[in-house]
Amino acid sequence: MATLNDMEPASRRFIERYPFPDLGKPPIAPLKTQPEKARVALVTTAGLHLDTDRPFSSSFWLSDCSFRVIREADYFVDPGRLVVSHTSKEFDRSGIDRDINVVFPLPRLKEIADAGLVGSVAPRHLSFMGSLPRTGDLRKRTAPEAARILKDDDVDLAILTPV
Amino acid sequence: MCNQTAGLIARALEEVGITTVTLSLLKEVTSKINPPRVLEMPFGFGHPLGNPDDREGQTRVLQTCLDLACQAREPGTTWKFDP
Repeated sequence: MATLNDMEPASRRFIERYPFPDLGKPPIAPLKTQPEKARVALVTTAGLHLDTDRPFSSSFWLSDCSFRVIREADYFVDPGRLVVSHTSKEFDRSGIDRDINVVFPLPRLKEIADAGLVGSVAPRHLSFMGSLPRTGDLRKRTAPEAARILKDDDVDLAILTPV
Repeated sequence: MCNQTAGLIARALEEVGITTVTLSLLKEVTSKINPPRVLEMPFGFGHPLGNPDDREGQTRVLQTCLDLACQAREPGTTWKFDP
């Protein structure tokens, strides 16, 4: 597992001084169905989007809290349309460039759905820019909006993948 | 900050009744946000599911997420992924 010591000194100092919110005990929603019947979605913070989507802002301080929808159908028609616009310098992009499953395992998820290990793959998956020093808009607006989209799609389980 | 963002989204999804499993690459940050179910990954930044083209390993990550989603009873449950 990575540690703060693996980060560039400036990034490490930023996190060490960052005023993390005091959120208290987390909410917990038990899985309401057996995995074999569950609908599963992916939510990544890798800044992925289709090449026709508006890229995420390249400004770290602007904190672009928007998200992009990645439809399963679009992805499987042409996986090459998925691109990364993430501002962080901290992660190695070579893995994503070679195999999208290292951060957005939609092909693996479809395989286990086809094998009957999960009920179905959600029609819509979501991607955010993870480098957000200011999270107010995320917490107040875009994360609840994302939750509504997945709820509308009857998603039972979401797997979140940071980079 | 990706680990903070993922944890905050997870909490929003749980608020509307969607079960979540959050992978973590940096527990110093994830622990501050305290999402309900965390799978700590022994990999570096940029590839939370491990090495590219490791089909078996990537599938095991997803299966472990399913197990964690089914078995966690308490908010804040954290497992370590064994590669």
